Amino acid sequence: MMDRVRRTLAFAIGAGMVVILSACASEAPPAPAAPGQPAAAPATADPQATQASAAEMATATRPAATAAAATEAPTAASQPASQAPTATTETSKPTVTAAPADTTAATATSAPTLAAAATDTPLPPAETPTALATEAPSVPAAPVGTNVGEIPPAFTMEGSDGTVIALTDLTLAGRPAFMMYFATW
Amino acid sequence: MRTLAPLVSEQAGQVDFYLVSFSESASRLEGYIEDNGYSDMIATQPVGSMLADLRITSQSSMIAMDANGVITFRKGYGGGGDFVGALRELAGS
Repeated sequence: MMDRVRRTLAFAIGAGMVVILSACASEAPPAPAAPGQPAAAPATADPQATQASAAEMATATRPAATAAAATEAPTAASQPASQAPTATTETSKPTVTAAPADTTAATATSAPTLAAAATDTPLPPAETPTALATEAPSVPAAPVGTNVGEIPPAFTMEGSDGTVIALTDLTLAGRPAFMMYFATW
Repeated sequence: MRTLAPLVSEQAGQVDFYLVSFSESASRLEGYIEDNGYSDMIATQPVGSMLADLRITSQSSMIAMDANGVITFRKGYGGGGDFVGALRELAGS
């Protein structure tokens, strides 16, 4: 009684694993794998095989799944032989590439905020040079010299009563000045 | 000086006239001004290297400056230049 239960349980587990693996190999037609598997299952349904655990049954059915994938290549014989490996890798790709796609999407969504912050900060420095440029008054200053159109170098003269008169005193007076260098002799 | 004296009286209050001694003291110039009635002139004497700084190498040199201190006219001894026109231009500025 117990052997019968174990046998049916092992058969059910083995058949279930085959169905799951054949479903994972999406391009693989389930029809060829299904007929081959029941044939293999009675072989594993020996009294010795009934002692195997469910994990061992799963590993035993994997060659059958790869065989099913290999049978796909002859069906696509007109196609290049490299299509079969790509079919097997396609099953694992979606789970692997999904995570990087999500992370890149997350970084892509956060990038605009950083870019916006980066564009906000350079604006004040861009405004300050223009402000400085407008603040600088462009007052034309005459050069220092002794010719017409130039400001004479600083000088000092003294009045008869001891009063000192400098060039700055002349300009502070706000009136034109006329100097004549004179001798009484 | 005789040409300049009437202009000084005419433009007194609009232009400050300084008579700068070339080789004498300011008090000596002051006496000369009083003796000749040039009361609108201010007698001074140079201090330090004023003559050299302004490149004054001879007497009767003249320098006119506008209210901003910019030289508008300059002439040396015996040199040309319409100092009468320069003075009138200064008074009108």
